[in-house]
Amino acid sequence: MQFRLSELGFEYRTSFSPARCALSGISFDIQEGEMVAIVGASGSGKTTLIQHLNGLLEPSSGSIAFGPGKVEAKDLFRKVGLAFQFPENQLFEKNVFEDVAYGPRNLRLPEEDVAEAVRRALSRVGLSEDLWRRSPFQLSEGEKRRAAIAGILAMQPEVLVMDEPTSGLDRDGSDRIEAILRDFNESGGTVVFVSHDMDLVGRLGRRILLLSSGRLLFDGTREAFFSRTALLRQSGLETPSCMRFMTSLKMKGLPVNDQVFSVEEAKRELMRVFRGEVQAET
Amino acid sequence: MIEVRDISVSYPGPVGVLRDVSFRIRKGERIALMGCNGSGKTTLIRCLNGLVMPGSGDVLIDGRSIRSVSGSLHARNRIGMVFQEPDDQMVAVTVEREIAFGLENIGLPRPQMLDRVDEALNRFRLAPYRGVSPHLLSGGERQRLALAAVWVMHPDYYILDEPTSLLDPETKADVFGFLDEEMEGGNRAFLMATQYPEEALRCGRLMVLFGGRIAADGPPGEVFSDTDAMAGFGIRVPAGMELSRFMKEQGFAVPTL
Repeated sequence: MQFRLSELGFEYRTSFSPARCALSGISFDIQEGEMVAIVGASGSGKTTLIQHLNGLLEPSSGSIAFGPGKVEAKDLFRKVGLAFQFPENQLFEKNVFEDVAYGPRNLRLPEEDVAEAVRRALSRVGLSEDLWRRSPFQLSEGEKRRAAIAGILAMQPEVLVMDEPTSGLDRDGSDRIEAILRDFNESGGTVVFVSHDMDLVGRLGRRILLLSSGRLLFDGTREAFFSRTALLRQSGLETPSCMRFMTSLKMKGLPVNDQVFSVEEAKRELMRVFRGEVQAET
Repeated sequence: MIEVRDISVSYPGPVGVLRDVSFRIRKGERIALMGCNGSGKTTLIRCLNGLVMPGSGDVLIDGRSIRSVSGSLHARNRIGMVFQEPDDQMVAVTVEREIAFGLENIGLPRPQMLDRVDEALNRFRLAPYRGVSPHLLSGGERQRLALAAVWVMHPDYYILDEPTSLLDPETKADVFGFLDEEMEGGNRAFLMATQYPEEALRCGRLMVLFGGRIAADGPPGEVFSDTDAMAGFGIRVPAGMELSRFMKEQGFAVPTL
């Protein structure tokens, strides 16, 4: 088990604003190697929730436990890498390599190990060696975001938590971030991400958590989630756009399965229906 | 009308350069602007109200050059800018003061100002938070606040730089609902940069920037139909259009949807 949340609640309290109850009665487990998408309206508590996952926030009530084995709160930042929206805004060093090295250096690793961790993280996010000595500010938007993710990967976390991983990026940039998350997950890492982009949630998420006004409204598989049309409507969410297209074909009487979560899957389903071709699942 | 005449902008380094860009925004138009990162979208948007002064060429707002003092003031009064990260435009300590900021700057008498602020608080469902610091609001509430602070100035042109990229589908729909209402009567126009092809389909015109030039400009359905060109420009095509095209190519009958 990676995380266990029991009746977790959180209230924002400041001296000049009324207390706002951001989360209440949140209970769920996340196992190692899961790929979890957290969805819900703006203000439903998604960002507040993920800030609990690496100990940035402590629950006002209930508890959160980290496993396997008991992890001290002060070590959490090592195990759980958290990227905020636009993590590239936090790039600051004189070059990309140094920026990525900042985290592992803070862990007081020997300099050779730091260099090795940095090289591995940078190649993992696909930033070629000619960019390593450039200022982070000379990179394109997509490259900057990948450099910021490399900074997290260089700490060798077990869990990667990202808030809106692809927002503001173009097609190529977001495809690459998607590939990084998938690769991290396929090599055994746990991924938790927050997104409003249902196309992304459909392509990447295996399990979906839906928050509404600080409560957990749904917890289940992607397939189950996107077939709950009433719940989606009530939450102001929609199915992925490829699924909407297939649903509209189905409404026109075509015998297609509309449970598809990517354009590629939709194309395979169309080939199956129109050509009778059953292609190997990838 | 906003008239962009042959503007060019260069920064040191290869990105964010505009080359001889010309187009017009007429009142009543709903324009989507797409382009990959680094294609010049944000630079172009910043040229429209003089935040970036083009190296050559000119921008005319209702016939007044952005290079003149009066034209630049006119631009600031008539153009409402909304950015991707609402935090980038938050200046005040409370929601109420944030909305009042622009009105204070133009010296609107206090009673009128308070009326308009109340109206904005209600319209954007922010009344419960009037005394709250903007930083304690959620992402969607902050974007509503950014819209409220712009709307309260009653601009003629809305220029929005990926305003929905951090919003949930419902708040996104709110933004479009708001723009639809503002467009009633045809006395206003908007230009919205976006990465979401479905949003472009809701506009009457789609401009695509590539390498600092306007690479395509027309009704979104037509522009997207050249899927190969769009791939070259690094732009996603709406899934429905890509799948209909796939069906046609494969010789499958596409029912009218």
